[in-house]
Amino acid sequence: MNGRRQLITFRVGKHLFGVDIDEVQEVLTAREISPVPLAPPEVEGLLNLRGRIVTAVELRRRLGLPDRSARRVPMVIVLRPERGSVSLLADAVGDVVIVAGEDFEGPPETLRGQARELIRGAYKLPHELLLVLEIDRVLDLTVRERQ
Amino acid sequence: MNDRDNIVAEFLAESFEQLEEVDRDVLTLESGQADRALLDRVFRAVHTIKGTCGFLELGRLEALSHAGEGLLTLLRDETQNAAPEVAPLLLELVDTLRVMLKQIQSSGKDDGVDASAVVQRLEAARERLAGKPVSGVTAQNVAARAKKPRKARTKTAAPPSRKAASRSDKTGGAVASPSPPGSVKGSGHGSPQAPTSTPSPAVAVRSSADSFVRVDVHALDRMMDLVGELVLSRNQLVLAEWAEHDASEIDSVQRLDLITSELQEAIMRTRLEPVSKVWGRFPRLARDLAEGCGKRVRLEMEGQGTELDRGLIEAIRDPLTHLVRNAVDHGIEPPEARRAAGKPVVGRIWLRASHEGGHVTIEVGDDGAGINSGAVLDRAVALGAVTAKQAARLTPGEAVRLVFLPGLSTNREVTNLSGRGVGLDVVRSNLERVNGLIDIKSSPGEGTVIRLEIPLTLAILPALVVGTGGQMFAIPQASVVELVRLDGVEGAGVEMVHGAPVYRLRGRLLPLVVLRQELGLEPDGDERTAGSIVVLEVGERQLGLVVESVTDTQEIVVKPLGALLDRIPEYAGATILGDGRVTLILDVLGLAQRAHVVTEAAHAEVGADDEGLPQLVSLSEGFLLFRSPDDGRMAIPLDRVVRLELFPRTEVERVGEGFAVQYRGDILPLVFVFDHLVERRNVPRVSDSEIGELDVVVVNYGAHTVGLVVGPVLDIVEEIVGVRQPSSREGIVECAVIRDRVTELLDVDFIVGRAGPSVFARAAGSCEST
Repeated sequence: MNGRRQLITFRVGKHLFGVDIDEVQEVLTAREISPVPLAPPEVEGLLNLRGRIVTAVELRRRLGLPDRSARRVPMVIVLRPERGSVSLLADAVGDVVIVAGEDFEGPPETLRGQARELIRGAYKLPHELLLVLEIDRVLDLTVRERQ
Repeated sequence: MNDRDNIVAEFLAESFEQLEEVDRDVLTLESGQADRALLDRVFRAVHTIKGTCGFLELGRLEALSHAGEGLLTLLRDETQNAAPEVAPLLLELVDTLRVMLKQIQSSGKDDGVDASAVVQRLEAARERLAGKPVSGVTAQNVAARAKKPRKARTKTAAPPSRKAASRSDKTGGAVASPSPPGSVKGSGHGSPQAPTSTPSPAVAVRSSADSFVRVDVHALDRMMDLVGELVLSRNQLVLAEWAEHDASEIDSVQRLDLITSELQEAIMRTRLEPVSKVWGRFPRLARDLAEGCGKRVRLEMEGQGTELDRGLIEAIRDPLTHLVRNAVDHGIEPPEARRAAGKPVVGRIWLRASHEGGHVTIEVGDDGAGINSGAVLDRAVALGAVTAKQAARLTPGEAVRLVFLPGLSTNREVTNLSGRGVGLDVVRSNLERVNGLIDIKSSPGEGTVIRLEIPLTLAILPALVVGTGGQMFAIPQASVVELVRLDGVEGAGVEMVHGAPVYRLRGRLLPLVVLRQELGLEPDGDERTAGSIVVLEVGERQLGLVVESVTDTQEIVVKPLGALLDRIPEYAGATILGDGRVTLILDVLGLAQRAHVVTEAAHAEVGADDEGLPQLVSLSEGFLLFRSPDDGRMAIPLDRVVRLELFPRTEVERVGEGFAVQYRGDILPLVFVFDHLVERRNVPRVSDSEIGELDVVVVNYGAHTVGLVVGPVLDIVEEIVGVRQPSSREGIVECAVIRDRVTELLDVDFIVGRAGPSVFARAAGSCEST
């Protein structure tokens, strides 16, 4: 975790998360998402991205947080196509931040629950912690909170 | 001739590409970093060239690659560390192969290049290596000798070929076609030591590598996606323009419209490939197989240029190979038999492809012995796949179709008897997976023709769009049999069997699946609102899918669901509808399996289908299963069942010594089945209890209608009954294994008969309830 990296930041609940900018293709406001009955609860549905069908994973549910209020429109973070046409739904998308390797540390002790399983570690920003999502684990729906 | 040209062109393009890789690999070998995987790769490339030129009748090329293969086998398996020393010789091999390929490209033949010297050197090297595993000196000698001509070649050959290239550039597209017949023959009969003798300087043909581009299929798929989206945008624009009536803009929009359509067509074409891609290897396959079993076979091919989507080409590869194999193995008779039958000694097998109304039809035929339908039937009866009664009703043509049944075609015995190969059921299911159809026609002594009907493209298919629970779903039109309007789920025609609804459709019981419930969706409103039944065909069964609305049919582009969703068997994929919304495509088989639906015989009338490709005859029988008082299982043949009813016990009225209920404005006499079976008297009599409900199966008995009171109804099943034996118990016809359980089959007539004619006498009289 040395060197400087660019992370796209976004909020889910009260947490600030980040993913490597290379993982992200684009960010957009949510459009119509078609629900998929019988799908795992984390899968919010499918959306049409210029003719490509993209699966939307609701990060709130993935992280075990309560659902977003119906009035709040989520942001869609579309991952690179190599990830297999997947996007993540977040509450809001923030800046791209440049972080330095020496500020990186393991998952904070205070972080509990599902989120702990899905992050690689955290960067100390001046005012808060930036949690780095481990995309492989986020997309592997078999990774659940340890009982 | 033209088809061979195509094959040759493809072979050349592939070989040039592979040789480039081999070049690189050999250089790595030379630097001493030999490993097994690398040698394997080189070996495979040379081996592939050898294999292909075998059936293209390119003898010299074959001899050369054969010699190379021999050396490589040895290198790979035993003397890997000698690789650096023979690398120069291998490079010479590659160069010579390339010269020959170029010659084939220009003249269609490989006889202009004398490679015998290289062949000799390759063989000598192989012998040396075989003798002394690591013989540095000799190998180096070989290498040294090999180097010279290689250099010589690069000097002599390169300039003319460059000239040729530039000339072809000037003369334009006409020369780009891979191998114009009759183009200048290579004149190169150089010194025997130089295989390297230059290809004719007059060769003005651009190498295949220049006229073909290999494209990642994903790139094509992406283009398809984008063009699909473009079509949607175009449609919106066209609509808007029509609304505004601006003449000048309408013009440009129409142009856009046209270009978009052409672009779409062009991109779809990039995915098409000729069936010859699969057929190419069949002549060789047929020849080798025939040789192996002492037969003589001539393979004829027609319509090799017929194009199909590449996904489909892959999908029909195995089934077609299987059919050709079968035709040789089991169809064509041995020469003596043919002579005795007065047929030409050489058997004829033909492949014929053509476009036919939105489909591609492929026929695989032979003039062999044909299928003995009687033998197939006997075997089918012996295996229990059909009852003797059913068998008697089948025409020979229908009997032959039984070879598609799993139980039969995997059975070797029937294979040899019938002259048709194993695994036809697999062929059939492979085809059905891509919405294809298969049929067979055979006349004893004259041969067999198997006809395949394949959709043009996998990617686009017509679908029915339905709505339920506030969502839209697409159903592939190929599975839809008909639509039935429904006046509410509890409306006329719908009957309940223990919570499972069935619909009586023209005298048949159609199991219903309520889509909204299967998918766990919230009700859209009043549950009893009118809806529709989409009658679907699942294999040989039918089921009715209850939906709230049927919108329309659309051509849809099938797209895969991502990794997170592709394990849900209910969906075949997703698509984007005309309005841009993402919609799930239902997988009919997955739905049926989820709902555990099984139905009565879907095709009660056997043999009413001579038009088009007929359905396979249904051999399964339908049963109504219910529990007997001692927790055993009993069944009534479904064709005896008129209706299923539940009557509250309170409605049962005593009539003399019997019982009856008022039913549809009439009196329905009841027969308590278990009372009339010996040793089965422990069931609570109706008089014993006043609560609960009675399961009643309404059956016809002569001109009368009778209600049979049975145990709890378990299921309606459709099954090919394998094991069955007569029962000695009165009232039971036989015992059969249904759903893996021994089940007693009720003798309806016996039971009703035993209940006595008085039942009807009373019913005929007026209601004298007690």
